[in-house]
Amino acid sequence: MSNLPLDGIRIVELTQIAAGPYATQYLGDWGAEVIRLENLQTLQPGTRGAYAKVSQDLVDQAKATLAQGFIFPNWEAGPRPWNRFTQFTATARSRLSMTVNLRTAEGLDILGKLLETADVFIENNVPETLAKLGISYEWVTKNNPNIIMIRMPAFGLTGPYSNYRCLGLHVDGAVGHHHIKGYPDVDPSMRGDTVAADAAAGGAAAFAILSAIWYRNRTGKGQMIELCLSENFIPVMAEPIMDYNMNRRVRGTIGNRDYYMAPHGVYPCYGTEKWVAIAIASDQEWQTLCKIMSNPDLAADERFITTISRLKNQDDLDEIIKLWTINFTPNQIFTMLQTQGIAAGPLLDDLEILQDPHMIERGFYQELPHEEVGTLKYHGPGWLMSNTPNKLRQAAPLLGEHNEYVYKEILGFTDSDYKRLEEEGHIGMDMMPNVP
Amino acid sequence: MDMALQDIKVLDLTHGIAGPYCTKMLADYGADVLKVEKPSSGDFARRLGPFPSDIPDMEKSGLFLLLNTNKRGITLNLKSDQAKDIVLELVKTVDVVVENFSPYFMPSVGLSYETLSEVNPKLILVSISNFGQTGPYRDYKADDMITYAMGGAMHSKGLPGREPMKYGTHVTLYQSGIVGSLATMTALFSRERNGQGEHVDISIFETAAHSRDARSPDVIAAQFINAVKPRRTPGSTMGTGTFPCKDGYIVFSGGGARFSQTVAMIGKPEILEDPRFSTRSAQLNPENIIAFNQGVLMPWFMQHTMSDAWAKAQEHHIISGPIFNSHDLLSDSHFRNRGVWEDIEHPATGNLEYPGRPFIMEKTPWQIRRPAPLLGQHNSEIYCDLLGYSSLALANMPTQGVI
Repeated sequence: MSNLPLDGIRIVELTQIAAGPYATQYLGDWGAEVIRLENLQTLQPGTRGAYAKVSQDLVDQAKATLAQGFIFPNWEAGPRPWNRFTQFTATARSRLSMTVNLRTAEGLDILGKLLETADVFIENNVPETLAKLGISYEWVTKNNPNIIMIRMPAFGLTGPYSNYRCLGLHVDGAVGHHHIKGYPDVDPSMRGDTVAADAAAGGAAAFAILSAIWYRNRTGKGQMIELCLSENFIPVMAEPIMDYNMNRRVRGTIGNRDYYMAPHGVYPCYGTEKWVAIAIASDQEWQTLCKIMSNPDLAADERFITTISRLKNQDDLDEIIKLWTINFTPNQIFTMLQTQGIAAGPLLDDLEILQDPHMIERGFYQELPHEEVGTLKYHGPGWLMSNTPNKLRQAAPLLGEHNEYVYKEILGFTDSDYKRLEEEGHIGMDMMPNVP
Repeated sequence: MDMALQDIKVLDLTHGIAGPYCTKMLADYGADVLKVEKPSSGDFARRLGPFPSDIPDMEKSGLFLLLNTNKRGITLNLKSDQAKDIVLELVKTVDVVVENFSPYFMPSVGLSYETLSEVNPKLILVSISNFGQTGPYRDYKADDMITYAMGGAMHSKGLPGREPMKYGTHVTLYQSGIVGSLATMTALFSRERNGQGEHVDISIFETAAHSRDARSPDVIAAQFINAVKPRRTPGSTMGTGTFPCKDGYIVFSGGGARFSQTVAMIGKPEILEDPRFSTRSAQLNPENIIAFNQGVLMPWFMQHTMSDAWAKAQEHHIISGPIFNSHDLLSDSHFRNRGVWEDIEHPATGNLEYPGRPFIMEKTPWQIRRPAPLLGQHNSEIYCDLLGYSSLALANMPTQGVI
């Protein structure tokens, strides 16, 4: 029997892709029971894959380009690709899956009954999607007056952008992140590849939920929370925004450089696609680096003697550092610099990080079995607590895997009702045959 | 008005970005946060800009002012002889201590978790550090770029043939602050359940690895195929990329299942009959991708303004966003009318506009009760009124090297 901090909290989710599932993953990892609502009539795009029917041709072709949406275990989409989609595997652990068709009156009724038993209802759809289904906070509180509902649109439940469709990628653009990242010498059309707003929204949403439960435990009152991906990421852009507000300056990109440190960047190492990041924070650290490089001339070079002069002469500086780093592996430089108290780190790729000795010693990546994707290593619960050891317990659920538990044990449906709901397309483990 | 966390008291020993953002989240939703800073120099974020007119002033750092709203502030030299007793007295009065020193530091000044929990067994100690409280890298140094480089998706970000590219600002540190506030709440639930405190160990390196940029799906994909995703030129799938408009750029994802919406948007439905573009497999061919993205789509965007193009894309339900700069964002009426900006009056800077609430709680809203503290602003309130020092004793503390 587990004894996790959030045991006994039930969360019902209607979440998509990254930000919503990320919030409930945290809460599920720490003990909350998360019940995911899915349906057999439409594939949730980007969440369980682009298509319900994935031709082998498409998978084979993707093998050459490593196109993200079509990477499946053993390069086979299998008969149920929605259970083998990488994004879902990575984002949907620590929860249960039930299926229900919310486009029917009975489906809504089932959701209403489930919400009566829940502490939290979370969704991150375009607002009009819920409006079309007839789901609002008002409707939700009719079923459970003290529930906590959290909605996570990209831009808000109100305002002209309310129903604009966005992923984290586009939100990063809209709140100014893409404008301040990337190579200073390259056109902005080559910048749009960071997706940082989702993770920030997921973590903040989980915090908001626990804050609201904390308040409800004190007062008995539930409430509505609105967390927009864009608005939640705006404080993360503090420095350029405060600079604009104070000085009307519009900041652009300085690439991997820093306003206060030099050298500060990513340098090539011995081997293919091997890189090391180095950050020198003071003149003393610079002298230490020159010593490690066995380069007394460099240590005496007037162009680099102070932080201000190094910031001014960074182009020359970076060329010199590059010619040195290329002789070593990232790990050699990592050790040489860190043992002398200088910040440096290898750019670990997606396989190297699984082998990193520090990650291994702290038990960060943990294995979980899964019926359709096999046993894989997943990142851990996010932090450690001294009195509450925590291990991952459940990989991403198969579509409809927990229907029996939800319908019969929680909602008390009889075997004959259950059978009828199967026939009517609510309950099942396969997408409807007409779904492309 | 009620605030969600008004019954939680926090002793804040943090500096920089990650720790202060954690305690800001707690303070902005109601927690009573007391920040402890080094005498004379204070939190080093006070020395980081932006500053009004670029003139450094420890009471005017835009970064510090934003990250420390709603906190009271005192000074205390944690290395002084009296510091341990003072901290332990304060620890008796709080639910949570948050710190982000190097892991060796707290025990070295006699303030290990064991010592703190002896005076307050229900205490939650939240420690945020670069690599965590254990492990071979424990005492290594890092900044935002380095923890992102090691833990995050940086290896796959940027252009092929160039060095990988970091985030535009200190995203990993803010993310660690968010995770810190979440972990604090989780530990408080644990305390309610078990009646005992917790030492929470947050590693920024691990935060980079579990925060959902591309990293966690890519680590799963890499295990499937035993290979690593290469850096890719943006716009290398059909209908997707960042495109120039008349007055800026738009990041646009109109490929795959949305391709027919994209050709409807540009008013060229006949494209769907063109064998170069009509099948899913033709759409994966690199030559066809260039022909469509550069030959068909880009010219359409160049005839539209950023906001027109965005509105048209959204009419067709195509996920997309403008590449706004600070001026665009601060001038945008959607954000402004929703009230995301907050005017805050501060004794050193006067009135300034700050980023406001990260989320809206209907019954317990985000509120500014006080601006960031001046260095040592609440010394007399805390040392005399709370801890019972005489004003004479307080007056002697600076020369004794305590405050």
